Amino acid sequence: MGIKSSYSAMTRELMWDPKDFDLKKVYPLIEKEGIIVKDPKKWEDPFRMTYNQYVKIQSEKDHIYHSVRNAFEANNGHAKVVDARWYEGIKAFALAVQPAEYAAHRLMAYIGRNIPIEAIRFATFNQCIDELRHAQIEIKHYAHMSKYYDGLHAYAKTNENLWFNTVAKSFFDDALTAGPFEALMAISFSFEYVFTNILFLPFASSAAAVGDENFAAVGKSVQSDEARHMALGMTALKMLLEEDDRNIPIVQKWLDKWYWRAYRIFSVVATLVDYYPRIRPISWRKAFEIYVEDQVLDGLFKDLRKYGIREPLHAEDSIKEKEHYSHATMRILEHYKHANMFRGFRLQPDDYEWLHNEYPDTFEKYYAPFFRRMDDHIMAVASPGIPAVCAVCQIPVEFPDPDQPNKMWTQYSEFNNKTHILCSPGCKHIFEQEPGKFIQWWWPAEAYVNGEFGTDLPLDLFKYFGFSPEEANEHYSSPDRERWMKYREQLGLNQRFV
Amino acid sequence: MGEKVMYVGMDLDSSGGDTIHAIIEAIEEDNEGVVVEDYFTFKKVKAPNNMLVKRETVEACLGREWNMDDIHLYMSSYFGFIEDWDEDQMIIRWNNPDK
Repeated sequence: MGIKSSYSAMTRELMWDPKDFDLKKVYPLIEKEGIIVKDPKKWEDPFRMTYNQYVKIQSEKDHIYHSVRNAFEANNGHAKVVDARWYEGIKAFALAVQPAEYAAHRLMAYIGRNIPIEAIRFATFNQCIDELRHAQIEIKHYAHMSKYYDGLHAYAKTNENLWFNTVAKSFFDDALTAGPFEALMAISFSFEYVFTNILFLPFASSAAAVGDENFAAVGKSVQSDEARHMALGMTALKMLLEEDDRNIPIVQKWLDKWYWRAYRIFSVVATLVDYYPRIRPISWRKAFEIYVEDQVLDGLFKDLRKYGIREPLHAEDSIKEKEHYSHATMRILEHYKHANMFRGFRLQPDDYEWLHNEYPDTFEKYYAPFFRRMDDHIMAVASPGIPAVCAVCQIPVEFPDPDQPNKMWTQYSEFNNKTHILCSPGCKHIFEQEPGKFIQWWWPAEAYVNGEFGTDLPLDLFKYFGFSPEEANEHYSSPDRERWMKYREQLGLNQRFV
Repeated sequence: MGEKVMYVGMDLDSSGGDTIHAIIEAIEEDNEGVVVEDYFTFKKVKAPNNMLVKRETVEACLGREWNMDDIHLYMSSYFGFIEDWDEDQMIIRWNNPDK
């Protein structure tokens, strides 16, 4: 059988409509969002992937990845990276991205269960397994790292309890409690199609550039599934827009919301590209220009005009913020480095040079003075306690207004006689569309004050987080740094051959 | 006119070695105005508005049999709509009526 007929036989022909039950009872959420689907049978996964093909391709991908991993582990690859501070970035990635992969597998199962369209069901089924695979190969990387480096030894606990993790959690909880079509647009379109490229392509390049072959292979293996995920997002988007005109304003609202939501969660990725690697193949600004401005805003959204779809509401703000994003986010991470298990670090002369060259209009003027304060005292820039975070994205409310970078962009919104704090006009807009949803947040600072973390503070807090205060703070003065230097000495890597 | 060129294209994982070189060569042969950008761990290959990947051309460039499915191992990302895909070819394009 050819691809087209085997896809039809193994996907389409395995679906059936129930005779003895009301279809709407089997799929209770299908009409709840106002989406109208008339003839979904005509929609197909563009790759026409069947289960036996899927298994064959995926096992080959795993084979490729694990060969690289085994070699890396056997040859002490961890001691050969150009600078151990890279691993602080991997720890940040471990907290921000791996739980997102795991949550995404639940989300895909939810979407597949609730949308009775074969093409979407089978693609979400595949993606559900993909996301678990990603979560697992990432954990495999952390398990190895944890033999040598701090912070990840109680990974499941840290993952669950660390205040900073509400950023990724709230994103996926928001999608999981939306209807299935909104969830699909949130993840498959906004997250996967618009933003994941930046995560796994430039960041995998950074990994390769600093010598972390293992992580480069993780990134590439994960990204190799993304083309399929993007295809799902694009097909679903096109289907919703073409099935009925009444879907268009609903979809536009979702694109407005989830563009900004996905963009905000990628703030940490901006620091992973611009700050943690000491050799950087590409800046956040350039990656954003290629993947978001050229490919999505100037590419896709022009194509969507014919449906009456315009650019997402706050796309302009994200373009303005590209000169500030990584610096403002790194400043936030440095403020709270005493309460995260991924450490901040003192910038080195080559860092100042690179950041200045890549961001000539903003870095020196607005951000370098802040980072220089660490030259005299590494904790000089830390803010005590746990920060006030945005009611939508859960990131500390410390983003500058890109139009007047000396002022904060912080916004306020009144709801039910209470004032809520938001990091930007984008998050404020999202909050005001569904305030009843976002007031259900768990606010780490409030929990801290209420004694939820214990009585012997801050030590009880660290017990709750699953790591010790020595595993936080600054990298160049940390036990991790000292150990890394020793590993290198033992392996003879400290020698210089001129 | 006056608007930026709308490219479609894909990012290919450089670990694919000979296979991705053959895919790029085939794309250059079957399409007009192809641009290849090297990002070290991956290569971005793009063409204005339209891109055709033909199995036959890839096989000729590679010098051996090649299965369209294998593109999943190395195609890390793409941009444009996938208009057609089967054992013989893949077409990515924008559908903008102005073009």
